[in-house]
Amino acid sequence: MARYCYMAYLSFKSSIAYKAEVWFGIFTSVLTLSIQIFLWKALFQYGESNVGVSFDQMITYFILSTALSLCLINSSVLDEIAKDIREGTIANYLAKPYKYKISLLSKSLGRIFFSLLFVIMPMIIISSIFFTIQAPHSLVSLLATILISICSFYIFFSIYYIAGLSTFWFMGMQGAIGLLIENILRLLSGALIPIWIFPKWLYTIASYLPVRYGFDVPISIYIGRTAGSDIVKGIAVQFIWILSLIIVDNIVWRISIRKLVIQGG
Amino acid sequence: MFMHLVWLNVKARLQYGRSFVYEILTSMVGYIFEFLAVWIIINQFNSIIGWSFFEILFLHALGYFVRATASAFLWRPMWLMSDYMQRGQLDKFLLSPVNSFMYIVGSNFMTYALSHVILGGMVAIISIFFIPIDWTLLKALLFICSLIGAMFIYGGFIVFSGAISFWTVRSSFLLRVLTEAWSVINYPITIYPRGIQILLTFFIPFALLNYYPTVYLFRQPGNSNSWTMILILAAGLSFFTLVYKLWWYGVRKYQGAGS
Repeated sequence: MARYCYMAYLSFKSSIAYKAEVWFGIFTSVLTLSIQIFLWKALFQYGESNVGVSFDQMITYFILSTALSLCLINSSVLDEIAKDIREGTIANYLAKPYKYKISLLSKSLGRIFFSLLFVIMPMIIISSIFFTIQAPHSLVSLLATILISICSFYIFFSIYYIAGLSTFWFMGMQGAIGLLIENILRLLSGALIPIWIFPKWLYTIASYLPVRYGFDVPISIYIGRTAGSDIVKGIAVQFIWILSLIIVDNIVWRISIRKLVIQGG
Repeated sequence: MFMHLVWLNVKARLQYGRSFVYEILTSMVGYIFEFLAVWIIINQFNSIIGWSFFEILFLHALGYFVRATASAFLWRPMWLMSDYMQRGQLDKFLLSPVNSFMYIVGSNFMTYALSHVILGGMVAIISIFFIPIDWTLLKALLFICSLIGAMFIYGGFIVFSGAISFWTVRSSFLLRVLTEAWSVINYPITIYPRGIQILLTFFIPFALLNYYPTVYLFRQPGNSNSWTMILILAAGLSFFTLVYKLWWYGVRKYQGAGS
């Protein structure tokens, strides 16, 4: 356990070295968020279409979704695996006394702590000067939001992990795979547009996918759109998703390793 | 000479035909999801403040087209400027008997951006068929003029970021900010408060690149007319000349530092 904590600490520390990245991250997230909010403000003023929530709730939704996407949608796990596969260093991990997956997980957590402190906090402070963030619907919904958001980290990690291992078969294509996954995750999780606004068929697809536990479910609970027994149901279904993803990514890992051994001769 | 250098670059790149197709496909992924998002919003709200799906599509695609054309020529040389300087390779370009600016730009053509030129152009042309426009020859000519102006404006921003590296040694940061800040004009600028609209028209004139030409083409009467198109061309040419002068001023300062 201590060695994994140390890995997380190292990746946290190496992130600090890139000061320009911090400024860039704050700038981009505030900019993207502002564009999104101005667009929706115009949409609310122009049309009389009913989107089911108030404008203030919508702003809160976008601020939270920007913060969460800085944590969850990050292809560095995929890039790292693709690099290890390309350079063959992945073979070394088989001999080392720790699990490859857990080491990636801890590094990823280190990066998230870093961006929480240095990018997300400033982003929320800056945007709360210009826009109003609503308080959580209730104490219970705040706690549920935090719990679901933390757990959803594993869902997104697992997707990137499986995608990274898939570069065993799609050598040299991690750029395209990363872009494709990022776009799919952003759209279908509700990071870009709340999924309840989707047309019926797309909503049906999105509502059955695990990625909505990163954005749609926790933020809906925070702004009070989802309440009561639905929260408990959400947590239960998310739990099942995490368990199944753990099983699936272990199977993918086994298959990939077999491929690695075959390649090795 | 300049076009010959560029052509050599493109030819070298096209040797790897498969990876060029791969680049086009990769760029397409980004487009498809962006347009899907626009479509979802318009499906719910019927329009984005009065703009139809294909009008927004045209606005996006025109922006990509203008930006990618300028970037194909200028982005990579300006990105590499600070690199060249740190390694002392810039002298190679400055010492040659031909125009150093043309030399450095011509030998760093970015073929990757061509995929955006092609896709942006295609989407823009396709969406024109779905938008009623009363064409006249003058209108078409003025529209093309404004596009040339727009390319020079964006090109001016790129060269400016590169020229800055003569003083700060690092140009990449400003170029990355430029790439991100671009998304501001993906939607009609009328979604913003008045102050930001003025900022985007006169001070950081991104709106000249796609919004005003688009309004001129099919959203009359709007806040854009024939004169605006000519002004965009004039603004583009004069801004680029100014920045070009700044670049040369930087070169002289750089040469002075060594002695």
